[in-house]
Amino acid sequence: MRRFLRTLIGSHGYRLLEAETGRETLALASSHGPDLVILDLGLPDTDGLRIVSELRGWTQTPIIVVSARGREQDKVQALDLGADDYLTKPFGSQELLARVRVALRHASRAPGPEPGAVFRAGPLTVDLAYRKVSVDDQPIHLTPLEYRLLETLIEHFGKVLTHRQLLERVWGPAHVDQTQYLRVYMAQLRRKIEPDPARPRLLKTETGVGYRLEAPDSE
Amino acid sequence: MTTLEPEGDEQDTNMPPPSRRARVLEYALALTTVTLASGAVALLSPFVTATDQVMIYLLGVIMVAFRVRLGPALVAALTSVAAFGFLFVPPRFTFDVSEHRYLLTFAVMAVVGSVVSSLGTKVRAQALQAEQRERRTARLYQLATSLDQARREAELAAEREQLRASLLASVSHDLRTPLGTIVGAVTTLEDRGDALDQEARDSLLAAIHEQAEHLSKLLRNLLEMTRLEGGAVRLSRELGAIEEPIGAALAALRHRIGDRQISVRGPSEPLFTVFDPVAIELALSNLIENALRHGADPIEIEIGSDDEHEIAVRVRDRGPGLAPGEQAQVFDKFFRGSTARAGGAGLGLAIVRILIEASGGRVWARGRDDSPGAEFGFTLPRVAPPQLDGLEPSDD
Repeated sequence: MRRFLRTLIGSHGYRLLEAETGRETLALASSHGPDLVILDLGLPDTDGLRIVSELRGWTQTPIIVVSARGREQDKVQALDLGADDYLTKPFGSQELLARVRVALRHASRAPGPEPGAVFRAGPLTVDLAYRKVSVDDQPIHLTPLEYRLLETLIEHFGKVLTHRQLLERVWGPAHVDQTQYLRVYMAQLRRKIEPDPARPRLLKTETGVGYRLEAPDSE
Repeated sequence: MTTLEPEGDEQDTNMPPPSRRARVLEYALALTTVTLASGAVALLSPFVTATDQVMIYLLGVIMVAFRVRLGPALVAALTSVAAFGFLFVPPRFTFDVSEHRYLLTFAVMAVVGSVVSSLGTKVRAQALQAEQRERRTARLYQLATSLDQARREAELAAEREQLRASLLASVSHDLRTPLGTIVGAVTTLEDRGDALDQEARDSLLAAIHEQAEHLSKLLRNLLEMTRLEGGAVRLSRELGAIEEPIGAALAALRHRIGDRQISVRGPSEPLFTVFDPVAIELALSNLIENALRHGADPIEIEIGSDDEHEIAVRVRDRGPGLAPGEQAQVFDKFFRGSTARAGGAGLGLAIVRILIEASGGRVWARGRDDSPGAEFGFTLPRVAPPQLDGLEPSDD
């Protein structure tokens, strides 16, 4: 894995620092202050989730966790602890680079929505100042909660958001367990924005984890 | 099957010879009984005739003789007569040996005593025999059944071993074939990479990619099947729209789908069920891959709800379809249909059935009504979406 990463990362102009244990990871992170951390959750000797929460104790550097299929709980926990995104093994180079680019882009911006900006992705256009949404230049009406949901996804454009994170931001901390509302609202949103709700191009479902607003055909 | 021994007239009663102590006891019993009989006669003598007195002694002899051997029985008879003569025949308390008529009484008592004694002995011997026979029969029966069971278990174990050996061979072949292609392509690139033109290199790389994905799928299915068979299948239950795992499965398979024609059709309103989204996505992936591999374009995925209680998802293709009779078997583990192309490990559909049935649905495979090809489908229980009134903030 590391050989592949070394070659790939290096070829795109990034420099790779490698660590074999959790302790080394923390040591390297604190001494070198990397711009991004890729952390394998499946390492036998380290508790990846602990590393995530320790790192988040003192740095906001983006963290992408890598995990195997079927370990959705681990990914969700890592994300809720502060990891920015995840990759499921086996993954291809394009997927990895896409996640890295998104993570770095978000890290370099100030937090919070950009006031006055217009967001565009595929057929979707959202005027964040006037809260106007249109698809293929046709204005569409969203309820306040639907808009807040879309706005949150736009704020994290390209990054995954867990169910819990979405529920907290849209409905409030008291509702973080009510995934059924999120499901219904995402279905409504898909119907308003996607020409084929069963094959969404923007509003992607990350099974077992959450949702992601993605640029169309981004991989 | 072992045969039981024929039951002959067994003289061998296997009765143990009486111990010395037992013999002494029998005599003691005889004497005690005579004593008791004498006591009884003494009590009743004012009211009964001499004949009846003898009857009481006779009763005593019979009761004793039934339980003892010949010797003590005769002793009982003799002492009964002696006691009667001594105690009750005038002049009382004397042995008047000249009373010959009591010889007959004694003779009768003796005969009765010996007959009853031998009867008693025979009855006990027969009872013992019967018991022994029964025990033997029970033992033989047990032996026969356990032999039978052992034989059957040995047969089953041999069958299972054979099945496992052939499955192992089949699975290892399925795993080694794509690996073979990968190693072949990689070593070709390593050795001859410079000498190949771009097209040849791309072709080899594409083959490596494709075979690696195939291997990945095989391993995923193998692991999933092992997991499912290993213990209780614990699936989560959450409300979800059925279109989500469909979209996710199609997105995950986009490389495999490539240029193939796949479309999704469904009602305008979302259909909700309660499921484990990861499990259902896996089931859908396997169904879609099955259609891609064994079916032909265009492949249609249809979401529907025939009644209010069920959601049905159908994956239809235009391929050769199923051979008659294979409709139920196709979901069996390691089954390869006669129209199937080689290369699948035969686990994908078996996993689909297990997951769907564990989710409260059912699966089917059949031919299409409208055209050649196959339809694979499953149902899941349908639920109504939660009420949303009051969720929106009041000021719009």
